[in-house]
Amino acid sequence: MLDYLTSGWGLQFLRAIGTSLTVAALSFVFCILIGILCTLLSRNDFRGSASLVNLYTYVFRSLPDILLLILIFYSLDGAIQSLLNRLPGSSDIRLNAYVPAIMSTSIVLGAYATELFKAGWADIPKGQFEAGQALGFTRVQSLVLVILPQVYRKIIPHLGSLSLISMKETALLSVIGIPDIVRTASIGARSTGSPFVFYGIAIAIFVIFAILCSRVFAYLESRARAGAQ
Amino acid sequence: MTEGSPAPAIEISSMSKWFGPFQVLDDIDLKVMPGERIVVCGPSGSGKSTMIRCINGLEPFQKGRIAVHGQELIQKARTLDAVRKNVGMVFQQFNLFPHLTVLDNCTLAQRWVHKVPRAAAEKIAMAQLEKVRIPEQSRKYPSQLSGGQQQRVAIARSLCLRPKVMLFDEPTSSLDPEMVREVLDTMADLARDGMTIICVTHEMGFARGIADRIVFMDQGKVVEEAPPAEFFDKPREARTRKFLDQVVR
Repeated sequence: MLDYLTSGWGLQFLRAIGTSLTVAALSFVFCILIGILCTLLSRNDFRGSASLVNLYTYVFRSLPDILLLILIFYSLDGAIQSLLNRLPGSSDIRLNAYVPAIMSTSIVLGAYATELFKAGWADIPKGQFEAGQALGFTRVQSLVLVILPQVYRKIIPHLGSLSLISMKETALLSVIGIPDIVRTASIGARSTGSPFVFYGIAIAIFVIFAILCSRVFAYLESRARAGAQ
Repeated sequence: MTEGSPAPAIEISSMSKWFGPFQVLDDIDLKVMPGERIVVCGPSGSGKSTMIRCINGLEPFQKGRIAVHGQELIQKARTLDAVRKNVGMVFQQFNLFPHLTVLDNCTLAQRWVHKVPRAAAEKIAMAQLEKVRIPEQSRKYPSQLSGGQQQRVAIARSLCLRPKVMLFDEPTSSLDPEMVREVLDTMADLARDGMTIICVTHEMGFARGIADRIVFMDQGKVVEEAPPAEFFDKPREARTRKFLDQVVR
């Protein structure tokens, strides 16, 4: 195994880890933003917004990820390309494949995040909103200072699993040609004829990530629990 | 504003409110002078909580007007903010922020709404916690306190914003009996300091001892309004007498 790693595959894998981590981290952040935004929308007085959010989470949680990724990837890619082509003098811009990739994973994961935030939000007693109002907070202040910190504390264990899922989701990117960990492993396996070594390395990377992740979230959880409940 | 006739702290005139087709408040008139202590009582469902929640805009109303220290209450963010700066509110369920320490509960609004620097806000908070006799708990979280302690923190949290009027919405109703006294004592201290108070409560002993006036409500109406001696000893209305027979033994 060491032979492979020193003969250039090590570097390939490091790059692939960088790629996967970047995509995972960015889509994790974006899916949380989507989750908060959709929760606010579904709590909005405007009638259509709640059903729109429901439709979104329903569709994206019920269809297989890979189907959606391919669908979103190609339609987003096409849409962004044609938008860029309309701009004068920019016809030769090629879009980085990561942009639609990260967007599509964020949209898929955002559906899960939305359900999480909605559930956490529903757990906050009405009195918390009223106390915020009575103390004179603006809506945004009350959201950021009072409500979201409490939602965070309620859903933090689930955010841990969401972070694992966002890492796993990067494996799907190999389908759309992005050199993530899985794609690197499969190229290596095919070109060297040692599938067990290469897929073994990929598995090890995911397991190590999962262990580190659960450590981080265990720490965050213990901090969030301080007194509050 | 002429001398000799000071402006009322709160003026409610012919205010009505409906929940859907159901009328919960019916033509309420109430004038509260600065420093006055008003106790509002009445059977459950009489609209007393709803009425005081209207005073700081937690509930909208459909008819009439409310003015707090001359500031008319309109359902617009800016005027609501202005009114709420003058009005503190204490809830039945305390509604402390569970993710913050007692001290942070008392400084959060000071720092973000009134833009008081942290150190100054903490000094004010400690002074108010001192006043409700609970300064030693400032580093604890609400869940580590008893109900009575939590309610005293909630009172301190409101006082930190230096309100001109304090509203109490059944402040002792969700407390264990042995904790009612400490909260009532804190409120009595506040009354002695000259705070304008409107309190919805079933504590008739408190009403008799502290209130300048008692307002009795039933079915969304103010039925009777009188100083405690008169209210308890010779109530005018039959409905008041019936209520008093049930609650005072």
